[in-house]
Parts: sequence; C-alpha cells; structure tokens
Amino acid sequence: MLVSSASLCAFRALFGVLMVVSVMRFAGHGWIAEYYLEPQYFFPYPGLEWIQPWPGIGMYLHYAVMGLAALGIALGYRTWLSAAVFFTTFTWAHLIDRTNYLNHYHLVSVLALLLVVLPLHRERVPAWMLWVVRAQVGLVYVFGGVAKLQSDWLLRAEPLSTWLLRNQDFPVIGAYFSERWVGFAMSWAGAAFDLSVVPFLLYRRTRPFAYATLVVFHLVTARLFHIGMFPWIMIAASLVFFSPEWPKNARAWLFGGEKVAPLPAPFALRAPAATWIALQCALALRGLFYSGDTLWTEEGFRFAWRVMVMEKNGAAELVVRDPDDGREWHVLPSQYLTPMQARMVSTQPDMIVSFAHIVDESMRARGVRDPEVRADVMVSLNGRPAQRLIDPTVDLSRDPPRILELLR
Amino acid sequence: MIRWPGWVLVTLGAAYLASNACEPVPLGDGPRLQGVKATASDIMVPGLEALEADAHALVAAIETGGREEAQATWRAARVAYKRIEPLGIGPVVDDRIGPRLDSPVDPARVLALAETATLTAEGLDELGANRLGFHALEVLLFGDPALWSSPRTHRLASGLAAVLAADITRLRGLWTDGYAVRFSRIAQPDSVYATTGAAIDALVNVLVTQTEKMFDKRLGAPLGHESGGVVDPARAESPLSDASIDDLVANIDGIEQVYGEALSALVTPALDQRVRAAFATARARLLAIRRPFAVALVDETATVESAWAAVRALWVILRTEVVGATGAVLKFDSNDGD
Repeated sequence: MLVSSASLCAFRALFGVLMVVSVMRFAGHGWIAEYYLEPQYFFPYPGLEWIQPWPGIGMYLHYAVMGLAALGIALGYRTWLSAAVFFTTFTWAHLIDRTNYLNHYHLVSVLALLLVVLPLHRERVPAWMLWVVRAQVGLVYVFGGVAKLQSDWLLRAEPLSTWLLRNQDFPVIGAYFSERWVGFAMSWAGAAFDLSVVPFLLYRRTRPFAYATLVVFHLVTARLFHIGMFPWIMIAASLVFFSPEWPKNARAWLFGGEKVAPLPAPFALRAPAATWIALQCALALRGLFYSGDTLWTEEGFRFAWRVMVMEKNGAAELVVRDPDDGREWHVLPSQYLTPMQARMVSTQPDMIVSFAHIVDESMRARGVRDPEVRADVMVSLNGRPAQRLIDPTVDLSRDPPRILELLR
Repeated sequence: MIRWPGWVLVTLGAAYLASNACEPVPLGDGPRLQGVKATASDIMVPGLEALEADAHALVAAIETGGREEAQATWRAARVAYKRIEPLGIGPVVDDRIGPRLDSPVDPARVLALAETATLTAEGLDELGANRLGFHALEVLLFGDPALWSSPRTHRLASGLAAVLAADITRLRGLWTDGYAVRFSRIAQPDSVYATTGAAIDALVNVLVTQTEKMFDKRLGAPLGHESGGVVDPARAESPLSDASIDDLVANIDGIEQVYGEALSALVTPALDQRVRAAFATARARLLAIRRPFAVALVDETATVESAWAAVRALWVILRTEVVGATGAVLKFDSNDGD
C-alpha cells in the first residue's frame, strides 16, 4: 500500500534544518578543534582504527561539507546525494573517537541513513517506509523507558534528583527541586512518559495530547540539561506519527486552503524494515547478555538508547612498572589526554584499557622494554560512594580488565 | 496570509525564544547561592586583604629589617597566598596575575638581574614571570646568605617585593572594585555566571584541579612518580625556603574553606563527614613529614608517600562523590551530554 510522502518530506526538511543548526553550533562552540585537533590520541572503535581526523584544516572542510549536505537535505536538493554525504561525513566524524559518543549522535546517523534509502522524491511511498521511520523514532523512547526500569531510577530517583539540584534557579518550580519527592515524581513521570508516549502517539484520539506532552517534556529537558539538539530532533522527528498528510493540513490550517481528509497508514512491514528494526533492537538489548550492571561496566551501553540514566564520576591513575628494574611511574589521564577524554577515560572500562595501551606504547618508546600497566580507578555511580571499578592487580598491557562488582 | 492559528503558534514560539533569551530568574537557590556569595565575601576578599597586608609587610621588612625578619614575612605572605591560590578564578587568571606571583624561576637568571645596570621599578615590572614573584624572592632571601649583604642584591629584592606587592594590590583591587560583586550576583547582565549551577561548577572544578596538582606535581614529582621512582628534591615547590609542606598545608586549608562555605551544605551529612575526615587526614599526614622536606623525601619516603596517598584520597572523593552530590559538571568545556 502506498501513502503520501508529505510527512516524511516534512521530517526530511526539519531534520535538515536542525542539522544545519547543529553543524553551525558545533563549529561555533569550537568543538571541531576540541574534538579533532587538540587531542594527541584518539579512542577509535575496535576495527575502525582507520577512521582518523583529516590533517590541517581538513576537519573544518569536513564540517563545511557536512553543513552543505544538511542544507541540501533541508531544501530537498538531490536528497539522496545530500543525505548520503551528510550520513558519511557525520558518521565518520563521530566514529573517530569513542570519547564523543552520544545517543543523539547515533540517532542522527541512523535517521540520516534512513533518508539515504527512502525514495522521498516520490509523491507516494510504500507504507512500510513510513513505519520504519516511526519505529526508529519510537525505539528511542521505548528503550529509553526500559533503561529506566531499574532500581537507581525508580527506587533512588537517581541520577535525576542530583541533576535537579543544580537547576534550583529554574523559574518557578526550581525552588522545589531540592525536595526528595520531586526527584521521585519526576523520575517516575519520566519513565512513564518514555514507555507510554509511543502507544499514545500511535492512537489517533490520544495523538494530539501525547504530542503536546512530548513537546512540553522536551522543552523542559532542553532547559534543564545540557543535551544539545536532542530535544529538538525528537520534537521534529515525532511528527512522523501524525497522518502522512499532516503537512498539507498544517499548511491549510496556517495559511488557509482546502484540508485533505487524513488517510490511514496501515501498519506494514517488509523484510528490509524488519531486519533494520531487529538490528536496532539487538543492539539495544545486547547489554542483557553481559554479566554485571550495564551502567557500571558499560558493556552494551553504547547504541542502546540508555538516555539520561547515569551520573558517573571517576578518578583514574595508571601505575606503570618496569619489570626489569622495578621502576614505577604514576600517570594521570590529564597528562596525555584532553579534559573531555580524561573525564571519559576515568569511568569507562574499555577506554581505560585503550589508555593503558597508549601509555604502554609511550613507555616502550621511552625505552622501557616490557612495561606492566595497572589502573587504579575509583568511580561513583549515581550518588554512591566511590568504589574501585577494575582490579588494580591486572596488567592491562597484556590482559583484559577484570571489572569489579558494583557494591550497592 | 497567516490565519489566527498561525499567529498563535508564532506568538507561542516567540514567547518561548524570548524566555530562553532572558537570563533565568534565580529563585529558591538557597544554600547554593549563599555559598557562592560567601566564597567571595568571606574567603576571597578577606584573604586578599590579608595577603596584601603581608606583602606590604614583606616590602618593609626587606627595606628595613634583617634577613630573618624578611624570611619570616616572606613565609607569612606565602601562606596567605597559598590559602587563596585554590580559588584560581577571575582576575588571577584573566589578567594573568597568577603566573607573576607564583611561577618556577631560574635562580641563575634571577641572580643575574642584580648585575644589570638599572634596577628600576618599571624595568622589574616588565620582567617575565620566570624572574618575578615569590620564588624569585625565595632565591634572594633563602639562597646564599652572602647575597643579603650585597647592596645590589638587596636592592633587587626590594624591587621584586615591591612588584609582588603591587601585583597583589592590583589583584585585591580587581576583586573589591567589582569582581566580587559580579561573582556573587548570578544571572545579571554583568554577572560572571549566568546560573548558580555554573558558579558551583567553577568552584568544584578549581578545587579538584588544585588537589590534583598537589598530589601529582607537588608531592608526586619530587617522590619520583614521574621519573621512575627517582626521588628529586629539586622538584619540590619551594625547596630553598623549605616551605613546600607549608605551601601544601595552606592549600589544604584554602580548599577546605571553600568546600565548607560553598559546598558542604549541598552534600549529605554522611558524605560531608567523610570529606572532612579526608581533609583532616591529608593535613595530618602532611604535618607528619619532618623538615627539611628534601631530607624526608630521601630518608622517610614512606611518610611522604603516605601524605601523597592522603591528598590523592582527598582528590578522589572530591572528583567523584562531591562532584556527583553537588550536581557539578566536571569539565572545562561546554560539551553536550545525554
């Protein structure tokens, strides 16, 4: 069955505009230099070590191309090509360093990829194409909600209670943010919102109220937290839950003209869409197959839409020993890494191992034949007292880390 | 032509953008705002006034007193400076006053200044930070005793002390003549911080950074932690005056003072108790190091290592639990999160 492509085209245009803003914002904050030019070392994803920042002004040109591609998406200019260039440049940039991982960067990549494969130049598209975009947007809420079904969020109201504390100058209601019950109320409400908004968006009668709630929710989170473009992307992307003809009716509502009777877009699924959704679900759920608390071990954390569920602060130090003569060096992440990288390394076991390898190589270059590298890492998760994250006796230059159990 | 629903939307959008453009209204900020204000009014301003008085006493002691008196006043001024040093925010950074007060110096280059033809106040004022400040004076006051009897060296010491005092007076003036008010007033057009949260972030960050510097550079480096365990007393902060431990204890006092005024009310009583215990342990272990520090580094390494571990433990609790409990963002950038 074919449906109007109008809502997907509106999504494409809004997404393009937001990405133009995003690229300008990224450059304006000086993050191109901070992320790609200042670091001496990077933390690539395993198997993707070949993805490196361009030398010289290359990354500035890279972002200029990305911005032009986003503009192309917004204007619908050679949409396929614009989306392909945007997807490639954006994803490349964010795969350079694990330090910079954010759920919403992942969302931008997958939405851009969908824009590459969807034939948005056509007047009408198969219904399953609309549904795959709806599913992609819906998964963010659903898995975001599932991630909140854990004791820290529900029984300790953390980390939200702590985050609210720093927002006591929020107009009117900020005065109540230090009240314990407010943290609990907002935690439970947040989980309920994430878990229920998709069904309510899917049901025609509740859709306007669900979307209004969604807008308020994201505006409040945009004001409370440093989450960049994420709220705006979700507000724009969630419009795909409306009837495929909604842009035409919105135009008629705003400027006058004939309204179009909204046609149903019956649920449809085809093998490519099912495969895509299954892949997204598998990525999101893979954390279940690792032992230990995902928030603590971070195994299966990335690409899983575990949005805003963790306040983790760490203090890490490596101890390097030369087994030949017993000499020892103490190395802080700040000696090698940017402040942002040092902060991430101090809480994420896989990055600590990568950092240990960086230091191992550096010490070899300084003439230590076979250095042993151990890590002393203390981490506080969601307001708990700091505790050791990994076994400090393991030589990380040779062996994988042994992540210690989280003491609740 | 836009119809009325369109105008409603446009008006609502404009209202939202306007509310974002306006500075947030600081309501209900209670202890956080009080802590920020107290940091300026009860710590920084009186601390700078005390430092200024000590710096001028140092100038007078060098002019008219004996070597011992000059050394004693240098120590007093040094402690006063080290107490406020952890609050490395504002003019001390923005106006680059900090490096002029307290940078490592090359003793040979400082001594060579005494041989230059003119030792005018203007000439000394234009010197680089590596020939100015407390450590340049340390070379002259605590180095070879014969230096004190040389008129040219004595004149150099007077000149350097005058530059130090003038820099401190300028720093105090910048705080009392406006910065303290701008620091304390949140969310005003000329405020240093747009939100109380941003001010708390800044305070937490400087305390964590200072504590890291203390255990890593000022204790770890002389202990040989950067050089494969080779103890190097020359890397102590104030080796000639043997004031390195006094420097660290004054830093601990300063950090605890800021913690007590601005942050302790924001953490749970249980955490506060553990943080206070960490301060007390760090201070006690530092005071347990026997003088001279250079000898303790070699002969009583375990005692110094124990002090290093205690300051490191303080760093850990500040960097992890206090950062978390205060809702501070531990970074010096403005990156997004989610």
